[in-house]
Amino acid sequence: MSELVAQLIWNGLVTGALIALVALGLTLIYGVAGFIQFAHGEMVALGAYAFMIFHKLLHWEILPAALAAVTVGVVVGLIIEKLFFRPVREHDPMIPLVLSIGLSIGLQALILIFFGPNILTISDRSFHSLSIFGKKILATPSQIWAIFLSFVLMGGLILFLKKTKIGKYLRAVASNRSVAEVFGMSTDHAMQWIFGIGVGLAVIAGIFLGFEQNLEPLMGVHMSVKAFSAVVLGAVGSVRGAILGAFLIGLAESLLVGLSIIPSGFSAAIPFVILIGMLLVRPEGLFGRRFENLRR
Amino acid sequence: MILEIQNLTAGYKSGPSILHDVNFCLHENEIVTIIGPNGAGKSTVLKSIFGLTNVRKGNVTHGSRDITDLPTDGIIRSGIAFVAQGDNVFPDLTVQENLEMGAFIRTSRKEVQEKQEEVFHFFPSLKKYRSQKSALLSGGERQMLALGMALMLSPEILLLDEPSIGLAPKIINEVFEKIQKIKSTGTSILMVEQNAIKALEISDRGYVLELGKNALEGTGKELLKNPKVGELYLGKKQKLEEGK
Repeated sequence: MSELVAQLIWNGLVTGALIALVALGLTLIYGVAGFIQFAHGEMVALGAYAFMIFHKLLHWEILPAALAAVTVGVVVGLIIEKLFFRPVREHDPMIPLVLSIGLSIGLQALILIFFGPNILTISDRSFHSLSIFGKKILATPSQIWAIFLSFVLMGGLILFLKKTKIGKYLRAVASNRSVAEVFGMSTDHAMQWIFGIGVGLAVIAGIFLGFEQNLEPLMGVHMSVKAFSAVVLGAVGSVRGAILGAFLIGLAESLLVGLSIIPSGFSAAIPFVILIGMLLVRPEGLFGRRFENLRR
Repeated sequence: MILEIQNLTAGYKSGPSILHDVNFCLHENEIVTIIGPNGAGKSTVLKSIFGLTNVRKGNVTHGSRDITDLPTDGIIRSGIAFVAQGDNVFPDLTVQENLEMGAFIRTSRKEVQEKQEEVFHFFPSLKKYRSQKSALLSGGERQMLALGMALMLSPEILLLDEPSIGLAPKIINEVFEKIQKIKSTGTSILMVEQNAIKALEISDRGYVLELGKNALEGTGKELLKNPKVGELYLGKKQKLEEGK
Protein backbone atom coordinates (compact mmCIF):
# COMPACT_ATOMS: atom_id res chain seq x y z
CA MET A 1 0.00 0.00 0.00
CA SER A 2 1.52 3.27 -1.06
CA GLU A 3 1.34 6.40 1.03
CA LEU A 4 -1.08 7.86 -1.48
CA VAL A 5 -3.51 5.01 -0.94
CA ALA A 6 -3.16 5.34 2.83
CA GLN A 7 -3.88 9.04 2.55
CA LEU A 8 -6.89 8.40 0.32
CA ILE A 9 -8.27 5.80 2.71
CA TRP A 10 -7.89 8.28 5.55
CA ASN A 11 -9.73 10.96 3.56
CA GLY A 12 -12.40 8.45 2.63
CA LEU A 13 -12.89 7.46 6.26
CA VAL A 14 -13.30 11.10 7.26
CA THR A 15 -15.89 11.71 4.54
CA GLY A 16 -17.55 8.40 5.37
CA ALA A 17 -17.79 9.29 9.05
CA LEU A 18 -19.47 12.61 8.24
CA ILE A 19 -21.86 10.98 5.73
CA ALA A 20 -22.66 8.38 8.39
CA LEU A 21 -23.70 11.02 10.91
CA VAL A 22 -26.11 12.52 8.38
CA ALA A 23 -27.32 9.15 7.08
CA LEU A 24 -28.11 7.97 10.61
CA GLY A 25 -30.55 10.83 11.13
CA LEU A 26 -32.09 10.23 7.74
CA THR A 27 -32.58 6.51 8.36
CA LEU A 28 -33.95 7.05 11.88
CA ILE A 29 -36.44 9.65 10.69
CA TYR A 30 -37.50 7.31 7.90
CA GLY A 31 -37.86 4.44 10.36
CA VAL A 32 -40.13 6.29 12.75
CA ALA A 33 -41.87 8.82 10.51
CA GLY A 34 -42.00 6.74 7.34
CA PHE A 35 -40.69 9.26 4.83
CA ILE A 36 -37.35 10.52 3.53
CA GLN A 37 -36.65 13.95 4.97
CA PHE A 38 -35.01 15.70 2.05
CA ALA A 39 -34.35 18.87 4.03
CA HIS A 40 -32.06 16.85 6.31
CA GLY A 41 -29.04 18.04 4.31
CA GLU A 42 -29.95 21.63 5.13
CA MET A 43 -29.52 20.71 8.79
CA VAL A 44 -25.87 20.05 7.93
CA ALA A 45 -25.63 23.53 6.42
CA LEU A 46 -27.42 24.92 9.46
CA GLY A 47 -24.74 23.36 11.67
CA ALA A 48 -21.89 24.75 9.61
CA TYR A 49 -23.31 28.28 9.41
CA ALA A 50 -24.42 28.37 13.06
CA PHE A 51 -20.94 27.27 14.16
CA MET A 52 -19.37 29.84 11.85
CA ILE A 53 -21.46 32.60 13.47
CA PHE A 54 -20.56 31.57 17.02
CA HIS A 55 -16.93 30.80 16.31
CA LYS A 56 -15.88 33.36 13.70
CA LEU A 57 -18.26 36.28 14.18
CA LEU A 58 -18.77 36.09 17.93
CA HIS A 59 -15.26 34.71 18.56
CA TRP A 60 -16.35 31.95 20.91
CA GLU A 61 -13.97 29.08 21.58
CA ILE A 62 -14.51 25.95 19.48
CA LEU A 63 -16.21 23.84 22.14
CA PRO A 64 -18.79 26.36 23.37
CA ALA A 65 -19.46 27.42 19.79
CA ALA A 66 -20.03 23.78 18.77
CA LEU A 67 -22.31 23.16 21.75
CA ALA A 68 -24.28 26.30 20.92
CA ALA A 69 -24.61 25.20 17.28
CA VAL A 70 -25.83 21.76 18.32
CA THR A 71 -28.36 23.36 20.68
CA VAL A 72 -29.63 25.63 17.92
CA GLY A 73 -29.84 22.62 15.59
CA VAL A 74 -31.80 20.46 18.02
CA VAL A 75 -34.25 23.29 18.71
CA VAL A 76 -34.71 23.90 14.98
CA GLY A 77 -35.26 20.15 14.48
CA LEU A 78 -37.96 20.04 17.13
CA ILE A 79 -39.66 23.12 15.66
CA ILE A 80 -39.57 21.71 12.13
CA GLU A 81 -41.13 18.46 13.29
CA LYS A 82 -43.90 20.19 15.19
CA LEU A 83 -44.61 22.97 12.72
CA PHE A 84 -44.25 21.22 9.38
CA PHE A 85 -44.29 17.44 9.66
CA ARG A 86 -46.71 16.75 12.51
CA PRO A 87 -49.75 18.26 10.76
CA VAL A 88 -49.25 16.04 7.69
CA ARG A 89 -48.08 12.90 9.47
CA GLU A 90 -51.28 10.92 9.06
CA HIS A 91 -51.45 11.65 5.34
CA ASP A 92 -49.96 9.76 2.44
CA PRO A 93 -46.14 9.64 2.93
CA MET A 94 -45.79 11.46 -0.40
CA ILE A 95 -47.04 14.66 1.26
CA PRO A 96 -44.36 14.99 3.97
CA LEU A 97 -41.79 13.98 1.35
CA VAL A 98 -42.78 16.78 -1.03
CA LEU A 99 -43.01 19.13 1.94
CA SER A 100 -39.44 18.25 2.87
CA ILE A 101 -38.23 19.06 -0.66
CA GLY A 102 -39.95 22.45 -0.40
CA LEU A 103 -38.42 23.00 3.01
CA SER A 104 -35.00 22.18 1.59
CA ILE A 105 -35.34 24.78 -1.17
CA GLY A 106 -36.70 27.35 1.29
CA LEU A 107 -33.80 26.86 3.69
CA GLN A 108 -31.25 27.17 0.88
CA ALA A 109 -32.88 30.46 -0.08
CA LEU A 110 -32.66 31.64 3.53
CA ILE A 111 -28.92 30.96 3.56
CA LEU A 112 -28.58 32.93 0.31
CA ILE A 113 -30.52 35.86 1.76
CA PHE A 114 -28.49 36.06 4.97
CA PHE A 115 -25.02 35.03 3.84
CA GLY A 116 -25.03 35.60 0.10
CA PRO A 117 -23.79 33.19 -2.56
CA ASN A 118 -20.13 33.63 -1.63
CA ILE A 119 -17.98 30.91 -0.22
CA LEU A 120 -17.08 31.29 3.44
CA THR A 121 -14.43 29.45 5.41
CA ILE A 122 -14.11 28.56 9.05
CA SER A 123 -10.54 27.63 9.67
CA ASP A 124 -7.01 28.14 8.56
CA ARG A 125 -5.70 24.68 8.07
CA SER A 126 -2.97 23.25 10.15
CA PHE A 127 -1.85 19.75 9.24
CA HIS A 128 -0.53 17.12 11.52
CA SER A 129 1.58 14.33 10.26
CA LEU A 130 0.20 11.04 11.47
CA SER A 131 1.78 7.67 11.20
CA ILE A 132 -0.66 4.79 10.83
CA PHE A 133 0.53 1.25 10.04
CA GLY A 134 3.90 2.70 9.16
CA LYS A 135 2.46 5.02 6.51
CA LYS A 136 2.78 8.75 6.87
CA ILE A 137 -0.43 10.60 6.22
CA LEU A 138 -1.51 14.19 6.68
CA ALA A 139 -4.47 14.80 8.93
CA THR A 140 -5.97 17.96 10.33
CA PRO A 141 -6.94 18.05 14.01
CA SER A 142 -10.58 18.44 12.97
CA GLN A 143 -10.35 15.28 10.88
CA ILE A 144 -9.00 13.32 13.82
CA TRP A 145 -11.78 14.69 15.98
CA ALA A 146 -14.37 13.93 13.29
CA ILE A 147 -13.34 10.28 13.14
CA PHE A 148 -13.12 9.93 16.90
CA LEU A 149 -16.38 11.69 17.70
CA SER A 150 -18.40 10.07 14.95
CA PHE A 151 -17.36 6.62 16.11
CA VAL A 152 -18.27 7.51 19.68
CA LEU A 153 -21.63 8.88 18.54
CA MET A 154 -22.40 5.90 16.31
CA GLY A 155 -21.53 3.45 19.08
CA GLY A 156 -23.45 5.51 21.60
CA LEU A 157 -26.50 5.66 19.37
CA ILE A 158 -26.51 1.91 18.76
CA LEU A 159 -26.23 1.26 22.51
CA PHE A 160 -28.92 3.85 23.20
CA LEU A 161 -31.32 2.18 20.76
CA LYS A 162 -30.56 -1.32 22.03
CA LYS A 163 -30.28 -0.88 25.76
CA THR A 164 -32.32 2.07 27.02
CA LYS A 165 -36.05 2.15 27.50
CA ILE A 166 -36.37 5.21 25.28
CA GLY A 167 -34.31 3.52 22.58
CA LYS A 168 -36.50 0.45 22.65
CA TYR A 169 -39.55 2.70 22.60
CA LEU A 170 -38.29 4.45 19.46
CA ARG A 171 -37.62 1.12 17.78
CA ALA A 172 -41.05 -0.11 18.82
CA VAL A 173 -42.76 2.92 17.27
CA ALA A 174 -40.69 2.42 14.12
CA SER A 175 -41.55 -1.28 14.05
CA ASN A 176 -45.33 -0.99 14.40
CA ARG A 177 -46.84 2.38 15.20
CA SER A 178 -50.40 1.19 15.76
CA VAL A 179 -49.34 -1.45 18.29
CA ALA A 180 -47.18 1.17 20.00
CA GLU A 181 -50.22 3.40 20.42
CA VAL A 182 -52.24 0.54 21.91
CA PHE A 183 -49.59 0.20 24.61
CA GLY A 184 -49.68 3.88 25.45
CA MET A 185 -46.60 5.02 23.50
CA SER A 186 -46.90 8.51 22.09
CA THR A 187 -45.97 8.91 18.44
CA ASP A 188 -45.56 12.66 18.97
CA HIS A 189 -42.84 12.14 21.57
CA ALA A 190 -41.09 9.59 19.39
CA MET A 191 -41.01 12.09 16.51
CA GLN A 192 -39.57 14.77 18.77
CA TRP A 193 -36.84 12.40 19.96
CA ILE A 194 -35.97 11.28 16.49
CA PHE A 195 -35.86 14.77 15.00
CA GLY A 196 -33.85 16.03 17.97
CA ILE A 197 -31.28 13.23 17.66
CA GLY A 198 -31.22 13.29 13.86
CA VAL A 199 -30.72 17.02 13.52
CA GLY A 200 -28.21 17.02 16.37
CA LEU A 201 -26.07 14.49 14.47
CA ALA A 202 -26.45 16.41 11.20
CA VAL A 203 -25.33 19.63 12.88
CA ILE A 204 -22.22 17.91 14.27
CA ALA A 205 -21.46 16.64 10.76
CA GLY A 206 -21.98 20.20 9.49
CA ILE A 207 -19.48 21.66 11.95
CA PHE A 208 -16.80 19.21 10.83
CA LEU A 209 -17.71 19.68 7.19
CA GLY A 210 -17.20 23.40 7.72
CA PHE A 211 -13.62 22.66 8.75
CA GLU A 212 -13.13 20.27 5.83
CA GLN A 213 -14.47 22.39 3.05
CA ASN A 214 -16.04 25.75 2.31
CA LEU A 215 -19.41 26.97 3.43
CA GLU A 216 -21.80 27.60 0.58
CA PRO A 217 -25.59 27.57 0.31
CA LEU A 218 -25.74 24.22 -1.51
CA MET A 219 -23.40 22.34 0.83
CA GLY A 220 -26.41 20.63 2.40
CA VAL A 221 -27.71 19.28 -0.89
CA HIS A 222 -24.40 17.63 -1.75
CA MET A 223 -24.31 15.98 1.65
CA SER A 224 -27.95 15.02 1.41
CA VAL A 225 -27.37 13.15 -1.87
CA LYS A 226 -24.51 11.15 -0.39
CA ALA A 227 -26.36 10.39 2.83
CA PHE A 228 -29.47 9.38 0.91
CA SER A 229 -27.43 7.00 -1.24
CA ALA A 230 -25.79 5.56 1.87
CA VAL A 231 -29.18 4.96 3.46
CA VAL A 232 -30.58 3.18 0.39
CA LEU A 233 -27.36 1.24 -0.01
CA GLY A 234 -27.56 -0.11 3.51
CA ALA A 235 -31.36 -0.63 3.53
CA VAL A 236 -33.68 2.23 4.35
CA GLY A 237 -34.46 2.30 8.07
CA SER A 238 -31.42 0.23 9.08
CA VAL A 239 -28.86 1.81 11.40
CA ARG A 240 -25.99 -0.57 10.66
CA GLY A 241 -26.78 -0.35 6.96
CA ALA A 242 -26.58 3.44 6.94
CA ILE A 243 -23.17 3.39 8.64
CA LEU A 244 -21.74 0.79 6.29
CA GLY A 245 -23.24 2.52 3.24
CA ALA A 246 -21.74 5.83 4.33
CA PHE A 247 -18.22 4.45 4.63
CA LEU A 248 -18.51 2.63 1.31
CA ILE A 249 -19.48 5.83 -0.45
CA GLY A 250 -16.85 7.91 1.34
CA LEU A 251 -14.09 5.44 0.49
CA ALA A 252 -15.25 4.86 -3.08
CA GLU A 253 -15.33 8.57 -3.78
CA SER A 254 -11.92 9.19 -2.30
CA LEU A 255 -10.19 6.22 -3.93
CA LEU A 256 -11.79 6.39 -7.38
CA VAL A 257 -11.06 10.09 -7.79
CA GLY A 258 -7.74 10.05 -5.94
CA LEU A 259 -6.31 7.22 -8.02
CA SER A 260 -7.53 8.97 -11.18
CA ILE A 261 -9.79 6.07 -12.05
CA ILE A 262 -12.59 8.55 -12.51
CA PRO A 263 -12.01 12.22 -13.40
CA SER A 264 -12.72 14.47 -10.45
CA GLY A 265 -15.48 16.24 -12.35
CA PHE A 266 -17.50 13.04 -12.13
CA SER A 267 -17.06 12.59 -8.39
CA ALA A 268 -20.62 13.76 -7.67
CA ALA A 269 -21.93 10.88 -9.79
CA ILE A 270 -20.22 8.19 -7.71
CA PRO A 271 -22.91 7.82 -5.04
CA PHE A 272 -25.54 7.50 -7.77
CA VAL A 273 -23.59 4.89 -9.70
CA ILE A 274 -23.14 2.83 -6.54
CA LEU A 275 -26.82 3.34 -5.75
CA ILE A 276 -28.02 2.24 -9.18
CA GLY A 277 -25.72 -0.76 -9.13
CA MET A 278 -27.04 -1.75 -5.73
CA LEU A 279 -30.65 -1.35 -6.78
CA LEU A 280 -30.01 -3.66 -9.72
CA VAL A 281 -28.23 -6.34 -7.74
CA ARG A 282 -29.85 -6.24 -4.32
CA PRO A 283 -32.73 -3.77 -4.23
CA GLU A 284 -33.53 -4.36 -0.56
CA GLY A 285 -30.13 -3.01 0.48
CA LEU A 286 -27.23 -4.62 2.31
CA PHE A 287 -29.15 -5.13 5.55
CA GLY A 288 -32.64 -5.23 4.08
CA ARG A 289 -35.22 -7.89 4.35
CA ARG A 290 -36.37 -9.40 1.09
CA PHE A 291 -39.50 -7.71 -0.18
CA GLU A 292 -41.56 -10.88 0.24
CA ASN A 293 -40.83 -10.77 3.95
CA LEU A 294 -41.76 -7.15 4.27
CA ARG A 295 -45.42 -7.96 4.00
CA ARG A 296 -46.18 -8.99 7.51
CA MET B 1 -70.46 -4.99 36.37
CA ILE B 2 -66.89 -4.28 35.47
CA LEU B 3 -67.34 -2.72 32.02
CA GLU B 4 -70.45 -1.13 30.59
CA ILE B 5 -71.01 0.35 27.16
CA GLN B 6 -74.17 2.41 26.95
CA ASN B 7 -75.89 3.83 23.87
CA LEU B 8 -72.59 4.08 22.06
CA THR B 9 -72.51 5.75 18.65
CA ALA B 10 -69.07 5.93 17.10
CA GLY B 11 -67.13 6.14 13.83
CA TYR B 12 -63.66 7.03 12.54
CA LYS B 13 -62.45 10.60 12.13
CA SER B 14 -65.13 12.50 10.24
CA GLY B 15 -66.55 9.39 8.53
CA PRO B 16 -70.05 8.03 9.05
CA SER B 17 -71.03 6.36 12.30
CA ILE B 18 -70.33 2.64 12.32
CA LEU B 19 -71.93 1.81 15.65
CA HIS B 20 -75.42 3.03 16.45
CA ASP B 21 -76.66 3.05 20.02
CA VAL B 22 -75.01 -0.20 21.00
CA ASN B 23 -75.02 -1.62 24.52
CA PHE B 24 -72.74 -4.25 25.98
CA CYS B 25 -71.68 -5.25 29.43
CA LEU B 26 -68.99 -7.41 30.96
CA HIS B 27 -69.19 -8.85 34.46
CA GLU B 28 -66.31 -9.74 36.63
CA ASN B 29 -64.56 -12.96 35.64
CA GLU B 30 -66.53 -13.45 32.46
CA ILE B 31 -65.60 -14.20 28.87
CA VAL B 32 -67.96 -12.33 26.58
CA THR B 33 -67.79 -12.69 22.80
CA ILE B 34 -69.21 -10.39 20.17
CA ILE B 35 -69.93 -12.17 16.90
CA GLY B 36 -71.37 -10.86 13.68
CA PRO B 37 -70.77 -10.71 9.96
CA ASN B 38 -67.90 -8.84 8.36
CA GLY B 39 -68.32 -5.11 8.58
CA ALA B 40 -70.79 -5.27 11.46
CA GLY B 41 -68.52 -3.06 13.53
CA LYS B 42 -67.19 -5.67 15.93
CA SER B 43 -63.64 -4.34 16.03
CA THR B 44 -64.98 -0.81 16.26
CA VAL B 45 -66.59 -1.71 19.59
CA LEU B 46 -63.21 -2.67 21.06
CA LYS B 47 -61.46 0.33 19.54
CA SER B 48 -64.13 2.64 20.93
CA ILE B 49 -63.62 1.26 24.43
CA PHE B 50 -59.91 1.90 23.96
CA GLY B 51 -60.35 5.49 22.82
CA LEU B 52 -59.23 4.82 19.24
CA THR B 53 -62.41 6.01 17.53
CA ASN B 54 -64.49 9.12 17.49
CA VAL B 55 -67.26 8.49 20.06
CA ARG B 56 -70.25 10.66 19.21
CA LYS B 57 -72.77 9.56 21.78
CA GLY B 58 -73.02 7.33 24.80
CA ASN B 59 -70.38 6.29 27.26
CA VAL B 60 -68.04 3.60 28.48
CA THR B 61 -67.75 2.96 32.21
CA HIS B 62 -65.08 0.87 33.85
CA GLY B 63 -66.26 -0.01 37.35
CA SER B 64 -67.69 3.26 38.55
CA ARG B 65 -65.45 5.40 36.39
CA ASP B 66 -66.42 6.99 33.09
CA ILE B 67 -63.52 6.33 30.72
CA THR B 68 -65.18 7.54 27.51
CA ASP B 69 -62.97 10.58 27.05
CA LEU B 70 -59.75 9.24 28.54
CA PRO B 71 -56.71 9.10 26.25
CA THR B 72 -55.40 5.61 25.46
CA ASP B 73 -52.67 5.64 28.10
CA GLY B 74 -55.24 6.65 30.72
CA ILE B 75 -57.41 3.71 29.71
CA ILE B 76 -54.43 1.34 30.00
CA ARG B 77 -53.66 2.75 33.43
CA SER B 78 -57.27 2.15 34.48
CA GLY B 79 -56.60 -1.59 33.93
CA ILE B 80 -57.66 -2.39 30.38
CA ALA B 81 -55.39 -3.98 27.78
CA PHE B 82 -56.03 -4.48 24.09
CA VAL B 83 -54.72 -7.15 21.77
CA ALA B 84 -55.23 -5.92 18.23
CA GLN B 85 -56.10 -8.03 15.25
CA GLY B 86 -53.34 -9.46 13.04
CA ASP B 87 -50.25 -7.24 13.20
CA ASN B 88 -50.05 -7.09 16.95
CA VAL B 89 -46.39 -7.36 17.91
CA PHE B 90 -43.23 -5.39 17.14
CA PRO B 91 -41.58 -7.58 14.46
CA ASP B 92 -38.16 -5.87 14.66
CA LEU B 93 -37.87 -6.27 18.43
CA THR B 94 -36.90 -9.43 20.25
CA VAL B 95 -39.53 -11.40 22.14
CA GLN B 96 -38.20 -10.09 25.43
CA GLU B 97 -38.16 -6.50 24.17
CA ASN B 98 -41.74 -6.93 22.98
CA LEU B 99 -42.77 -7.91 26.48
CA GLU B 100 -40.85 -5.00 27.99
CA MET B 101 -42.59 -2.64 25.62
CA GLY B 102 -45.94 -4.22 26.52
CA ALA B 103 -45.31 -2.80 29.97
CA PHE B 104 -44.20 0.57 28.56
CA ILE B 105 -46.36 2.62 30.94
CA ARG B 106 -44.99 0.79 33.97
CA THR B 107 -42.03 2.58 35.47
CA SER B 108 -40.65 0.09 37.97
CA ARG B 109 -37.98 -2.01 36.32
CA LYS B 110 -38.20 -4.68 38.96
CA GLU B 111 -41.94 -5.08 38.50
CA VAL B 112 -41.51 -5.39 34.74
CA GLN B 113 -38.87 -8.09 35.17
CA GLU B 114 -40.99 -10.05 37.60
CA LYS B 115 -44.00 -9.80 35.35
CA GLN B 116 -41.91 -10.90 32.40
CA GLU B 117 -40.87 -14.10 34.17
CA GLU B 118 -44.53 -14.70 35.01
CA VAL B 119 -45.47 -14.35 31.36
CA PHE B 120 -42.67 -16.70 30.29
CA HIS B 121 -43.99 -19.15 32.85
CA PHE B 122 -47.47 -18.77 31.41
CA PHE B 123 -46.25 -19.18 27.81
CA PRO B 124 -43.30 -21.56 28.15
CA SER B 125 -42.97 -21.85 24.36
CA LEU B 126 -41.97 -18.17 24.16
CA LYS B 127 -39.07 -18.51 26.55
CA LYS B 128 -36.73 -20.26 24.14
CA TYR B 129 -37.19 -17.43 21.63
CA ARG B 130 -36.64 -14.65 24.13
CA SER B 131 -33.72 -13.04 22.32
CA GLN B 132 -35.00 -13.72 18.81
CA LYS B 133 -36.78 -11.15 16.70
CA SER B 134 -40.49 -11.72 16.88
CA ALA B 135 -40.74 -11.52 13.08
CA LEU B 136 -39.31 -15.06 13.12
CA LEU B 137 -42.11 -16.48 15.26
CA SER B 138 -44.88 -18.63 13.81
CA GLY B 139 -48.41 -17.21 13.70
CA GLY B 140 -49.48 -19.04 16.83
CA GLU B 141 -46.40 -18.02 18.79
CA ARG B 142 -46.89 -14.44 17.67
CA GLN B 143 -50.45 -14.49 18.97
CA MET B 144 -49.19 -15.89 22.30
CA LEU B 145 -46.63 -13.09 22.41
CA ALA B 146 -49.35 -10.51 21.76
CA LEU B 147 -51.35 -11.97 24.64
CA GLY B 148 -48.20 -11.95 26.76
CA MET B 149 -47.57 -8.29 26.00
CA ALA B 150 -51.08 -7.44 27.19
CA LEU B 151 -50.61 -9.57 30.32
CA MET B 152 -47.50 -7.52 31.16
CA LEU B 153 -49.99 -4.85 32.24
CA SER B 154 -51.80 -7.22 34.67
CA PRO B 155 -55.08 -6.01 33.20
CA GLU B 156 -58.44 -6.28 34.92
CA ILE B 157 -60.06 -6.39 31.50
CA LEU B 158 -58.58 -7.82 28.32
CA LEU B 159 -59.99 -6.85 24.93
CA LEU B 160 -59.20 -9.38 22.19
CA ASP B 161 -59.75 -8.57 18.54
CA GLU B 162 -60.02 -11.80 16.50
CA PRO B 163 -57.42 -13.83 18.42
CA SER B 164 -57.87 -16.80 16.04
CA ILE B 165 -57.41 -14.93 12.77
CA GLY B 166 -55.02 -16.60 10.33
CA LEU B 167 -54.21 -19.54 12.63
CA ALA B 168 -54.40 -23.28 11.97
CA PRO B 169 -57.24 -25.11 13.78
CA LYS B 170 -54.90 -26.87 16.19
CA ILE B 171 -53.26 -23.58 17.12
CA ILE B 172 -56.66 -21.92 17.55
CA ASN B 173 -57.48 -24.49 20.23
CA GLU B 174 -54.24 -23.70 22.02
CA VAL B 175 -54.97 -19.97 21.90
CA PHE B 176 -58.47 -20.46 23.25
CA GLU B 177 -57.15 -22.69 26.02
CA LYS B 178 -54.79 -19.90 27.02
CA ILE B 179 -57.66 -17.41 26.96
CA GLN B 180 -59.61 -19.61 29.35
CA LYS B 181 -56.55 -19.86 31.54
CA ILE B 182 -56.18 -16.09 31.54
CA LYS B 183 -59.78 -15.82 32.71
CA SER B 184 -59.06 -18.22 35.56
CA THR B 185 -56.37 -15.84 36.83
CA GLY B 186 -59.06 -13.22 37.38
CA THR B 187 -59.00 -11.21 34.17
CA SER B 188 -62.33 -10.53 32.48
CA ILE B 189 -62.30 -10.86 28.71
CA LEU B 190 -64.27 -9.13 25.98
CA MET B 191 -63.54 -10.74 22.64
CA VAL B 192 -64.54 -10.25 19.04
CA GLU B 193 -64.47 -13.38 16.86
CA GLN B 194 -65.22 -14.64 13.37
CA ASN B 195 -64.76 -18.17 14.58
CA ALA B 196 -68.12 -18.08 16.33
CA ILE B 197 -68.55 -21.71 17.37
CA LYS B 198 -65.22 -22.07 19.14
CA ALA B 199 -65.48 -18.64 20.71
CA LEU B 200 -69.02 -19.15 22.01
CA GLU B 201 -68.06 -22.55 23.41
CA ILE B 202 -65.66 -20.95 25.86
CA SER B 203 -67.78 -17.82 26.46
CA ASP B 204 -70.08 -17.15 29.38
CA ARG B 205 -72.18 -14.81 27.28
CA GLY B 206 -72.29 -13.52 23.74
CA TYR B 207 -73.70 -10.74 21.65
CA VAL B 208 -74.57 -10.67 17.98
CA LEU B 209 -73.82 -7.40 16.24
CA GLU B 210 -75.44 -6.63 12.90
CA LEU B 211 -74.87 -3.47 10.85
CA GLY B 212 -73.59 -1.64 13.88
CA LYS B 213 -76.60 -2.50 16.06
CA ASN B 214 -77.30 -5.02 18.80
CA ALA B 215 -79.16 -7.98 17.27
CA LEU B 216 -79.12 -10.81 19.80
CA GLU B 217 -77.78 -11.53 23.24
CA GLY B 218 -77.55 -14.62 25.39
CA THR B 219 -75.31 -17.11 27.11
CA GLY B 220 -72.79 -18.84 24.91
CA LYS B 221 -74.88 -22.03 24.84
CA GLU B 222 -78.10 -20.19 24.04
CA LEU B 223 -76.54 -18.47 21.08
CA LEU B 224 -75.01 -21.69 19.81
CA LYS B 225 -78.48 -23.26 19.81
CA ASN B 226 -80.27 -20.26 18.36
CA PRO B 227 -81.30 -21.23 14.81
CA LYS B 228 -80.92 -17.71 13.50
CA VAL B 229 -77.36 -17.53 14.73
CA GLY B 230 -76.75 -20.99 13.33
CA GLU B 231 -77.89 -20.02 9.90
CA LEU B 232 -76.28 -16.66 9.71
CA TYR B 233 -72.94 -16.98 11.39
CA LEU B 234 -72.06 -20.51 12.26
CA GLY B 235 -72.01 -21.84 8.75
CA LYS B 236 -73.47 -24.75 6.90
CA LYS B 237 -72.23 -27.55 9.11
CA GLN B 238 -74.12 -26.31 12.09
CA LYS B 239 -77.25 -25.87 9.97
CA LEU B 240 -77.11 -29.48 8.81
CA GLU B 241 -76.67 -30.69 12.35
CA GLU B 242 -79.69 -28.66 13.40
CA GLY B 243 -81.72 -30.26 10.63
CA LYS B 244 -80.98 -33.78 11.77
